[in-house]
Amino acid sequence: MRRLINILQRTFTKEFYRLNALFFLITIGFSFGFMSGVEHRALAEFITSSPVWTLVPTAVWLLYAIKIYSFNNQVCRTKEMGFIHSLSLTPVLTQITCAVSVAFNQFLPAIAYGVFLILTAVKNRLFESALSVALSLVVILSAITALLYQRIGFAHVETRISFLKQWMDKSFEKSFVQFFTEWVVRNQPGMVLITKIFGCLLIFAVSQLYHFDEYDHRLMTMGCLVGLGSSLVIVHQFLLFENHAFSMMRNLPVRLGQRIVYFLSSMFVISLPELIILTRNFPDQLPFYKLGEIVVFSFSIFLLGYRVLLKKGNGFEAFSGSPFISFMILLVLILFSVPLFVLAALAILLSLYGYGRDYYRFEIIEAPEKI
Amino acid sequence: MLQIKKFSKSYQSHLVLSVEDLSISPGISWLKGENGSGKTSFFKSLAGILPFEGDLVLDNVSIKKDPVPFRRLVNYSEAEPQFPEFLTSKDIVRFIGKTKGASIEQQDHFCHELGVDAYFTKPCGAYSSGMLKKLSLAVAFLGDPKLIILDEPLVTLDEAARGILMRLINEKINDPSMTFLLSSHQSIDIGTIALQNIFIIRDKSIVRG
Repeated sequence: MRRLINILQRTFTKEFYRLNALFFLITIGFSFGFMSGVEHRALAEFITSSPVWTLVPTAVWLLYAIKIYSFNNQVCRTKEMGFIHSLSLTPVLTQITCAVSVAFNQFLPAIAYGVFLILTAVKNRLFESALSVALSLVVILSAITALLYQRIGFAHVETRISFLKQWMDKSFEKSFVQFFTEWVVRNQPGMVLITKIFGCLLIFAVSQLYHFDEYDHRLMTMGCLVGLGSSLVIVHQFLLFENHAFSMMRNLPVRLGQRIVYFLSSMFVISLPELIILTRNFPDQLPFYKLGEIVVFSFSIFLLGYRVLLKKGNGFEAFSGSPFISFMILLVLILFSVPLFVLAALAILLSLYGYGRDYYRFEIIEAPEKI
Repeated sequence: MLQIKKFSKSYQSHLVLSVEDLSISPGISWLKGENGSGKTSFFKSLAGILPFEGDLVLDNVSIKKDPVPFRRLVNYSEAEPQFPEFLTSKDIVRFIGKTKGASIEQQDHFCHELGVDAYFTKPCGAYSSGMLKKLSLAVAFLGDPKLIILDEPLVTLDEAARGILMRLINEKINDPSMTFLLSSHQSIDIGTIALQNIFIIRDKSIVRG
């Protein structure tokens, strides 16, 4: 049993933390970099002041659980992990123990914060809130465990295709944009959801600031740069799709211009939620043409991001180092009111030059685990 | 005529294959090599999927100078084809067929010949390895290629499908400018196809067999 658990911890838990190291670093930096211990306690007291407020961390934990579920699903689907399904030959109790052990360790950050909330609630004699938090943790952890147990134990479940999908497959022909968007949504639902929620909330929040004070376009531009810029993780997924999951694409006689159109169209579809939020909440104080400028500028950043990946490698870590510094410089240039069309034009020119030079030279060195 | 000039393929600093100068004349050629000798890397480089050093020229079209026209001339079927599992054969054949300049009639013809039409609108996730192989082979015949690369074309194919594949190759090879490059660990029945050349990968290079 111990040996089995050890194998599962190495293949699921360790890999989960390794592949999401950047995500955890950012979360830790965000949580402990901006808030002191006193503020953390105040926040916990506020959350536990009413069972209704405990739904806020529950929602965040749910998103985290989706991320775990999506990762575990992908691991089970990969060819090299086929051996994991032989676990179904062991006694049910062993299978459940293994699944609980993996789910517990993957969900550990949420459990740790949950225990902190429970202790805060108990200290203030708010037992309903404590119970609500504990119940949320138990339900979510059970759900992750059950899904993992099902995925490990039943490897070759019959693939059922819904009538709607059957009808759509017969009636419609998919374009490349649909190939990618459906692929990324199916493969990385957690990532797509979190990115979209983050982007939409940030753009909405920044647009609301204009109701309380006079700002020029720079605040909105920076909000969009960070909000839409979070979709660079999806740009990375596009690279993996085009060069690994659907590598046949590289054999096709498609001109580079057309490939860029495919890329930008895919990113447009993926960015629709943010674009709708931006258009509907665009501040009245700003001239409407600024909206166009901001959108073009944001998409030029996607293009630049893709060029960086082509040049520096297939890992998302390619965005660290000089590209990250360039991102910061970009924010400073916006603060200094450098016209957006100049920045966008520069980004597009650099991207097109690099794309033409590096596209056919690019190669995924190490097959990515997450496809 | 396929000309391979100063070709070398490395993964980081590890050299996999190096070919100083080699010409492959039209006809059917069989590339032999042990497991891990670099056959698939060579094929993927020819198909434009992997980058490499040197140049490849097919009918005076260079992959380095004219990457798009070159790719129009070269089709490739993988040894172990994989497609996104939610896509149907229809999605893949129509998309690749369009980029390769294949008419709908031609797409349907090859799908019918290889039996892909039986599961044309079903998603790839529900396919067996043989079904995936047939789809990959059907795609390799689309358009107007001058070089068709078939990596392990016989693996996972049933007897009937092997016969059909050999017939399709024989039909296509009637075009005197057409080149087929095959790799196979199984012996190819010389009686069913007119094998022109045999090449062997030896000491990280390709020599005539």
